[in-house]
This record gives sequence, structure tokens and C-alpha cells, in this order.
Amino acid sequence: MRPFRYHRPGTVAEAAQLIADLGEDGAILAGGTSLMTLARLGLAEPQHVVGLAGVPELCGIEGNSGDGITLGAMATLRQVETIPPVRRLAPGLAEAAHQVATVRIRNQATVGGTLVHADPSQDLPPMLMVYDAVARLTGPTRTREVPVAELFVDFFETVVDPDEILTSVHLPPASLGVIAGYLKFLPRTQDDYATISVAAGLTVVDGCIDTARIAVAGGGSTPQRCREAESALVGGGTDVAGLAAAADLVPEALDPVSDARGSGDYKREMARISTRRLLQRLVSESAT
Amino acid sequence: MTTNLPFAIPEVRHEGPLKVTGHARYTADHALPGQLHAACLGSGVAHARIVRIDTTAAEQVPGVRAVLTAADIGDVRYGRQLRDMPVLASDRVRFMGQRVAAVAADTRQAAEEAVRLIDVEYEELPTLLDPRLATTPDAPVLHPEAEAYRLVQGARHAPAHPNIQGELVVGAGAEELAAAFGRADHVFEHTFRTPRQHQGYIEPHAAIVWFDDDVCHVISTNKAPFGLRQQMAAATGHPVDKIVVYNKFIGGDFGGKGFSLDEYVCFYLARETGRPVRSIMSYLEDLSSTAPRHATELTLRTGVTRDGTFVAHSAEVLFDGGAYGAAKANAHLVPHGGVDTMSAYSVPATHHRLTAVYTNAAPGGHMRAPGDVQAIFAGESHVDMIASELGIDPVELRRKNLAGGKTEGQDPSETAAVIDQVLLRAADGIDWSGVRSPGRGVGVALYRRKGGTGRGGVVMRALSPDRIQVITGAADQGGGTVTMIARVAAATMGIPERQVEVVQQPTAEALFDSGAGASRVTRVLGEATRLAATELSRLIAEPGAVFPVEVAQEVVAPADEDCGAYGALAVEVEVDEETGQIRVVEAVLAADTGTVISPLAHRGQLEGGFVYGLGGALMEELPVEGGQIMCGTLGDYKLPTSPDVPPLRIVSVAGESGTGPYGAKAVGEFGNLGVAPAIANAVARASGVRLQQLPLSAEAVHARLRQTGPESAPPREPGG
Amino acid sequence: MSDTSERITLSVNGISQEVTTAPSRSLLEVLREDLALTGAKEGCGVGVCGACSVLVDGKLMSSCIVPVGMVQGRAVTTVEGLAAEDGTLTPVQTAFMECGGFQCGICTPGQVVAATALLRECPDPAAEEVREWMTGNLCRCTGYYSIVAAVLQAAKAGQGESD
Ligand SMILES: Cc1cc2nc3c(=O)[nH]c(=O)nc-3n(C[C@H](O)[C@H](O)[C@H](O)COP(=O)(O)OP(=O)(O)OC[C@H]3O[C@@H](n4cnc5c(N)ncnc54)[C@H](O)[C@@H]3O)c2cc1C
Ligand code: FES
Ligand code: FES
Repeated sequence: MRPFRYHRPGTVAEAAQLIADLGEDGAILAGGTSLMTLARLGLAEPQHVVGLAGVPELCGIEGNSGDGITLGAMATLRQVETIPPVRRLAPGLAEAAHQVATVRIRNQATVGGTLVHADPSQDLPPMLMVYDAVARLTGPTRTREVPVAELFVDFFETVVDPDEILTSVHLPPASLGVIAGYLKFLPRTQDDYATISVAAGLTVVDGCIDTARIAVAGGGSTPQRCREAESALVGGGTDVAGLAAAADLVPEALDPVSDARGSGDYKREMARISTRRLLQRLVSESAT
Repeated sequence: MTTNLPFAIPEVRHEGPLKVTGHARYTADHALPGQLHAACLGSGVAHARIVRIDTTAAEQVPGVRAVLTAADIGDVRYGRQLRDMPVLASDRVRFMGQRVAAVAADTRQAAEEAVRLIDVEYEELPTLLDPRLATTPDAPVLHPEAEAYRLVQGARHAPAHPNIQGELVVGAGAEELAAAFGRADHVFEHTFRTPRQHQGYIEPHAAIVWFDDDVCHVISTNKAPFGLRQQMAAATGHPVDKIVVYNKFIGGDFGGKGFSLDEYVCFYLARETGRPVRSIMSYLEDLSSTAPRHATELTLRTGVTRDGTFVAHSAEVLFDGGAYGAAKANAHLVPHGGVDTMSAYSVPATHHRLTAVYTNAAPGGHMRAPGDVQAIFAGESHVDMIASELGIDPVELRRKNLAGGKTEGQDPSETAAVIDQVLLRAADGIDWSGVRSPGRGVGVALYRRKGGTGRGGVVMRALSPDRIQVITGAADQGGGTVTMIARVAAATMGIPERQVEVVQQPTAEALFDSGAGASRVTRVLGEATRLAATELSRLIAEPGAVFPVEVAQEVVAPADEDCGAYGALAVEVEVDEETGQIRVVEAVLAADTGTVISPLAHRGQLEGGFVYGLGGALMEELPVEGGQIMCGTLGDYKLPTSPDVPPLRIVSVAGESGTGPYGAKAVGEFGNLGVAPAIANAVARASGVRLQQLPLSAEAVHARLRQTGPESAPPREPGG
Repeated sequence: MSDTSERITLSVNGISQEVTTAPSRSLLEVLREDLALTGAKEGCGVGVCGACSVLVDGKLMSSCIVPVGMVQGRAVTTVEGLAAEDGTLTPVQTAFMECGGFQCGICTPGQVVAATALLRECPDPAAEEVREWMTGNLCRCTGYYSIVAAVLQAAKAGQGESD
């Protein structure tokens, strides 16, 4: 791999300034699990990296039911998996984080890195979509908020500008009441990327589905909300037929690539089955 | 004699403390003063004529000490038997990743940078990727110069077609075979395919080579130091007694470490620069350019009488040999195990034709029971398919046909009784006839694995009556060779094991050894140790013995030695009828593996073998598209992880004793053999889906379930 | 190539170290080549196999994909730093010996470091937890049975470490 210089800003402002100054030659380094892998394979060749590990404002996770949950960009996936506020208030997110690769990767990979890397098969993004999460970005001239559902553009591409830093991700309090879960379909090994995975969240009132969120990873060039399937659920009951009918709408929304983890057709079909199974699980959890 | 042996006590690995503390030094852990780092340019095309190589820019990179191409070293060819593989491609490249140029530099970064700057102009040639087309009239000929190729030990028998690497035909003549098939009431024919697979050792290939005057020193990951020495001498012309190989710790082998690549490149770079040169492959290079298991197509035919007796069997086995035959260790240049399609059965007339052909892919090599894995997957699936067609229980059909079981007018032999026990214990262990819920089913596979053959020796030295040394040239790739030797020596001499020290010596000082492969170590080195220890005991007991007392002992296990171990693997699987996913619920491995010398290592080989087979059965595949491998890292070429592994029970069956010391048998290439067919058979019985191709992926099961239609539940094979 | 070298200080197995190197090099390469600590191995080189496992500030990581620039000022523990100075093995190391938790041994330093990290976080894990935690440490030799047994035995024997 090509060598690079390492910069260690102490604040977001410093980091933003560095990124602006370095321009195309610079890259942000969070946990490094993606960037280092790409660099080692010769697929990324930054001349400068701006390491965010020493920026305290980006670390940590805070949350309560009144304010929602804020995940610092440098919070590790292992923290998301294990920290009590997430486990208690957004258990679906902890579940999805737990499914990422291996404990070693989760110790190193960060919330910001996982979003900006934008591999469409990653586990956290669909779950964050289910929780209506919003990413906060800081650029040289402005800060802005972008819903995670609108963050992704294409394979490994987001709306985050090269000179912007993702500082945190916020799960609004209203989203925390849902019963959410994650189903990662892993036909080969436990440490693999998903062939397809589904995140879903429901609220059920008096046996009737009041709100629904479904998002799929591995189904195309970006993780995707499946709004038609969601609409089909809302207002309906929790009977298997209704859930299955909604799940049947999922494949149409997808355009997965064929690869070692399965053909496009197979992934579509597995998305349908996984969605139905997950919805059934959530409905039964809602009943207890 | 075997009653009072101390082998039941679990062994303590002699090298254990080094391994658990990180102090065991593997090849890549060595750093020599002044050493340079090697990097190689691999071909970016599958088949091409090399028009021009420009190394000017590479030579300018600061820190670069040498840049070599075939123009510098000549057309040097090497191989384990057939010397067809160029150290650096001269006029042509024949697979993607083949070494075209090599750089030695002060740092790895500089070497890699220089490699990036080498410019090669190729004129692409038509590729041959499908082995079935290798001998068709339009097939491009990969090695027009094949006739000139030589074996390490002499001239080569020219094949019928230049694209044929090797061939082996064994068994009954055409007439006899036809007559035998004529006696059958039914003839069944099925075709099976198995993919290219990588050995998946965790340590990629590495080598360090340096010269001391005219002596060439080598530390490398090659598990057969004496073989490497001989192959290097044959290729480079350097005298064999001026090459010293020190290989000690090998970080996993599974057949792949018998073949060396970068030792040769390092030889020339070291000679050119006068400095030690070290090469460490990245895993990408290892996946794309070392010698994977041959992809194979097998067509099996079996003639059976109405009552299920096998009367004739033939197999056509076609191996995708890749671009070079260099990685195969036998003079037939085919994976020999391909003949074992029906080795656990008595069939009056059999015929096997094994053919390996050239294609534009990485050279096919050896991987844990080469050929056997493919043959047993095909054979044991075939037997179940026959059982299904005849409506006979698969266990019963096997019992009817056991090897040594039914010579007319005679009682079944002892062998047949042992195999029968092996089979029944596995079947009982999995509760063969039990009632199962929908989606579940059991399957079994029965097999014989031949014992190891080859040559090896030890030198034993008594420094005093209670200080014994055993000197061996064997490298340890994990099987526990050193500890096994010590235990055999101690047991034979009746002394505590701590009085025995095993010393691994370089090729210059130790007795010849065929290398840790082909299941030979315990058979050959263990037996040499036993014989040497017996003699040493006698000598030191003599009045007036003068210390040190030394004994050298060599042992040869002939290639036709009739010693095998029988195994039966039974599994229960659950098939998810919506996703096709196969879950192995439980497995039972029954085996007559003879006297156990090191219980932990023995169990470890069987357990590790089983999981190795599990990966091969369910997920491992190294696909090549247009000559390019489609799995560049271990992130794509998935190996089983700890939660992927089902419970495994191992059942020992007392059988005939082995030819190793105290009746020991080989188990290194044993535990993996039955896994794929047992699972395939269980899946067929659980879901009605019969897969004749590996890996048994969820998607493949799903596709077949869909073909038969979700509503019309597929017919299950009987007994599921 | 411009010179990107800088001076990086870090603590390795409790000893403060200073290396002058390109910060882009992997922590693994620096440990192995510059500090002669070859216990951690390079297998896959891309974070999958766990042969390069080390602890960074107590957290289990893949040193092959940690740029050394990232560990400036941090504490790294490698397999060499586990056993006592007099060579006494830790309960984890002893258990790997007694249970046959290795064969070729190339994965073993990583397994031992990973198991040690587990037992520090969770001194009495269930077999299921052990299997899951160890997911990221591939072993091609043992089939994992003996590794899981070793970790459970080490847990029984007390803490993962003799400190
Ligand atoms: C072996 C392996 C297995 C994996 N398996 C899985 C899996 O099963 N499921 C899964 O979901 N993922 C998996 N991943 C991917 C993993 O989740 C990502 O690599 C990781 O989340 C990236 O986070 P990081 O902090 O390491 O990012 P880095 O590698 O540091 O950065 C990734 C990208 O994001 C940019 N970036 C990082 N932080 C910011 C920020 N705050 N603002 C702006 N840009 C930023 C970087 O410039 C870079 O382009 C796997 C990765 C590996 C190496
Ligand atoms: S070498 Fe680092 S995880 Fe494999
Ligand atoms: S002991 Fe060889 S890979 Fe684990």
C-alpha cells in the first residue's frame, strides 16, 4: 500500500479545517476497518488521513426516552451493541450491531465509518432507518441534518460531501417506542456479510398495526426503505396472511447484485421470506 | 504387546509452550540481517504471449536492488514431479497471477512500488477454461513445447494430446468389464461435479533464501524439506548437497505446502544481490497463484443385480489441472484418490480412468486427501441414489456390498466385519431409524482411506542411559510429529518421555524424509523410531556400552502396502424448505483408526478433518471467471467459524491393526472424507433434493426445491 | 514517494516504545518488523482471520488493519505480554496445552489473545458465548472443539490471566 501522513485533530473544528485544507488528498479515518482494508488492497490511496480518534466530542453515546439517543460518530459498534441506553431504548439497534462481523471488527468500526463507507450490505444502516435516525454533518461553512434514509446514493457513495464530517446520529424519542428487530440471512458463516437482511419496526395498537418501518440491506446499490410494504401493513391486523402480503411487496423494491452470497433472484426471494419471518416475530413479541 | 503402552495418557505437545506464547518461529517470523524483501508481478491476463517487459521505471525506485525477468534467469522450469512451471514466465503466461517479474528491495513498500511500475505488453491468446473442451479439435494448445518437459526424476511418457497433463487407467479390461456389466439387472449412471477449493491454511506461503559462498540456505513454508531441496536442485542446477532447507514450523498445510513458488524467485534474487531475500505472499496472491484442489467432473456407472449386489463399476474422472502440472507429487500427474469411488465395497470388476488436463487457471494441487474427496462425494452419493432407485435402505445396501464381505461359499472376512461395525456404529449413533420431524433427515457415507506410503528415517542417539535424542528432518505442520516420535521412543525404551528430546534438523544433517504428507508421518517416522529405539535399547544394555550410542534407521512404506482405515460418517440435517439452508444438527464419525499414540492429536485430526470437510461440503468454492478468481480474500472465500460447527461424536471401532508403530494408522486425511456425501444424502432424504454438485449451498437447494414446486412437496428418498 | 515518517510512541506489553515510521503501516507490521514481536501473525491481512489479534487499550482488535498512526499514545498487548516474566503460562495458555487447543499453532497467538479478552470481560462464559466471541478467530486445524473446551477450562481455572 501507499504510505500516508497522519493528522490528529483534537476538535471537530480542527478536523473540518484540515479536511478542507487537504482537499482531494485527504481522507477521514475513523476505526480504519474499511479504509485500511481498501488501502491494503490498493483500492484507496490517500496521501493524508485525518484520524478522528482524538476528538472527544465525537465519542460516546447518550440517551433517554425523553431526548432520544445520540450516537457519536466515533462510538464503536461494540458500544452500540452493549451500552445500556441502546439496549433498553433501541434494542433492535443493539441487535443489528451485534450481528456485524466479529467482536474484533465491532471494537474497531465506528458509527460514522459504517454510514459513510456505505457498503449496501452493512447491518446498521437499515436499522437506523427503521428508527428514523438522522445524521448530523459538519462542513466548513454549515452544519446540516440528513435522515439516514436519505444518506445513501450508490454503492460506497453518500450525500456526505468530501469536506463534511459526520458528527453524530440521532434517534428521535418518538421512534423509540417501536418493536424493532433485525434478521440477517447468513447461509454460509456467522462472520459473513448478509446475503440479505431486513430491519423492521412496528407499533401495534389493539391488534392493529399503527406504524411500520421496513428496510433492507443487500438488496441493491444502497440500503432501502420498503415503503409500499410498510403502507400495506399500516391499518391492518397482525394475521400471518396480512404480514405475508406485505412481505410479498418487498422483492419488487429491490435490485440486488449477483455475487458469491447469492444471485439477485435468490436475494430477492430471501428478502421476502426474511421480511415475513421477521414481521411474524415482531408481532408475537408485541403480544407479550 | 499393546496392553501396557502408556499412550492413553493425553500427550503434552513438546512445542506447545512455544506455540501458546507466540514464540514458535514460522517462516515469516525470521528476519536476517541485511535481508531484502521480494515482491512479484503476477500476470493480469489468463493466456497471452509476452511481447515486451519494461522494467526501467521499476529499477529507478529508491531501495530496489534487483529486478528480474525470464530474460535474466532463462526459461527455468520446476515442479514436484513434472517440471513445467517457469520460475518467471518467459514467452507466455498461462494463468492470471503467474509470476512474470520479481523485485528485491530494501523495504516491502519499495518492492511493491517497483512492481507497480513494471510494464508488460501482452498479446492475448484464446483461453481454455473448461476442462471438458481440452481435447476438442478447436482447443488452444497451452504447452506447445510439452514434449520437452521432464520429470524431476527423468523423462516423461508423452500423453496422447498435448493438453493432457496426466492420466491413470486402472482396473478390469474392456471385455471383462462389459461381461460384468452384462450380469447386472440395472445399470446406474450419475455425474457429479466438485469445485476448485483452496486449502485455507492461515499461514500464506513464505520463503527466505540466502547464500553462504556456494551453499544455498532456505527457510520456507514447504512441508517436505527434502523434496523441496531436490526440486530446487533439479530446476536451478544448483548441486543438491549445496542446498540446505531448515523448515520447522509450518502454519497449516492440508496439502498446499508441498508445493513451492517463491523459493525459486528468492533463489535468483539472492544470487543476484548477494543478500538474503524474503518473500511473504499476501493472502490474495496465495488464493490466486498457489495450487488449489482440482475442480473435478466424475461420471460413475454401476451395475447392480436385482437384490442390490454390485457387480461392475466404472468411473471417468476429469480433473481441471490448471495451467501447470507442477504441483502434483506423483508421476501419473493425477490426484490418485480419484480411484476411490467405491473403495469400501466389494465389486468384482471395476475400471477407473483419471485424466488431468491443462486449462488457463492456477495449477491444480493437493488438498487433504487429493482425489479421494471428490471420489467419495461422488461414490457415496451414487450409492444412495442407487438405494433410492431400488427402494433399499442405504445402510442395508452398503452392508450387502462390504469389501471382503461376500466371496462365494465363504464367511465374510474379518475386514468386512470391521467395516460393518464401523457403519452400524455410525448409523446407531445418529439413530438411523428414528422418527424425525419434517425437514429433517439422516445420511451416511462409508469409506476407506489408504495408509501412508513413502520413505523416512530418524537418527537416535543415547547421550547417557537417560538422555535420548531423536533427530528428524521432518517439518511439523501441526500433526504433532515431534511429540509422536518422543512418545514412541519413550514407550519402546520403557523410559519417561521427558528423557527424550526430539531435534528437528535441516536437510543437511537429518536422514531423508518424504515429507509430512500423504498420511505417512506416523507410519514411517513412527515406525523408524520404534525400530531405532528397540535397537538402541539393546545397544545401551550391552556391557561396556560407550556413550554416545547412535542408531540410524530408515523405513520405507511401499506404495502397494495394503493398509487402510475405514470410516463412516452419519449426520442429521435440517433443511429450511423456504430458504434452502442446510443446518447440520449433529454428526457421528465411526472409525477403525488403530492404536492411538497421541490422543489429543488423534482426536484433533478427526475433529479438524470433519470441520474441514464441512467447509468443503457447504461453502467453499474458488470460482474462476474468464481466468480471474472471484474470491480475492478470506472475506469472500469463507471458512467455517466456531459457531458454524455442529456437535460431533467420535466412535472408535476396534479393527485390524495398522502398519504404523504398535498398530497405529493414519488419520490426517480421514475425518473430512465422508462429510459432503453424508450431508448430500441426508438432504436428499430430508427434502427430496439430490445435489450432484458441491458446494451444497442454500441457493442450490432452494433452486431445486422451487423446480419441484413449493406446493407439490418433492418426493423424499425413502427412509427420510 | 514523499517521506511520511513520524515518531510514534506507544506502550507495548507495558513497555514504552518509540518508533519512527510511516503511520500508514499496519500495527501488525510494526510489531513484527520493527519491534521483533512476531507472536501476532499475518493471515488474511484484511481483518477476517484473527491471527493478528492484539489488545489496544484492552480491546481486541485486528492489528493488520490498524494503522500504527492510530495507536499513538495507546497501550498495546500482544501474546508475548501475557505469560508471567518467569515464563509461567496463563490459565488460558495452560488450558490450550491441556485441551489440545492447537495443532499447527499459527492461529494460536490470536486465539489466546482473544480468549484472554473474553475472560476479562466475562469471566464465566457459557459455551455458546465462547463460540460466539471466538467467531473471528479462524482455525483451520482443530475444528474449534478443543479451543472452546480450552476457553471453558481456563474460565474454570480462574481468571484469564495471572495478573
Ligand atoms: C472483516 C470485515 C468484516 C465486516 N463485516 C461486516 C458485517 O458483517 N456487517 C457490516 O455491517 N459491516 C461489516 N464490515 C464493515 C464495517 O462495518 C465497516 O468497515 C466499518 O463500519 C467502517 O467503520 P470504520 O470506523 O472502521 O471506518 P473507516 O474505515 O475509518 O472509514 C470508512 C469510510 O468512512 C469515512 N468516514 C469515517 N468516519 C467518518 C466521519 N465521521 N465523517 C465522515 N466520513 C467518515 C472514511 O473516510 C472512509 O471513507 C466488515 C468489515 C471488515 C473489515
Ligand atoms: S491477519 Fe489480521 S485478521 Fe487476518
Ligand atoms: S492450529 Fe492451525 S490454524 Fe489453528
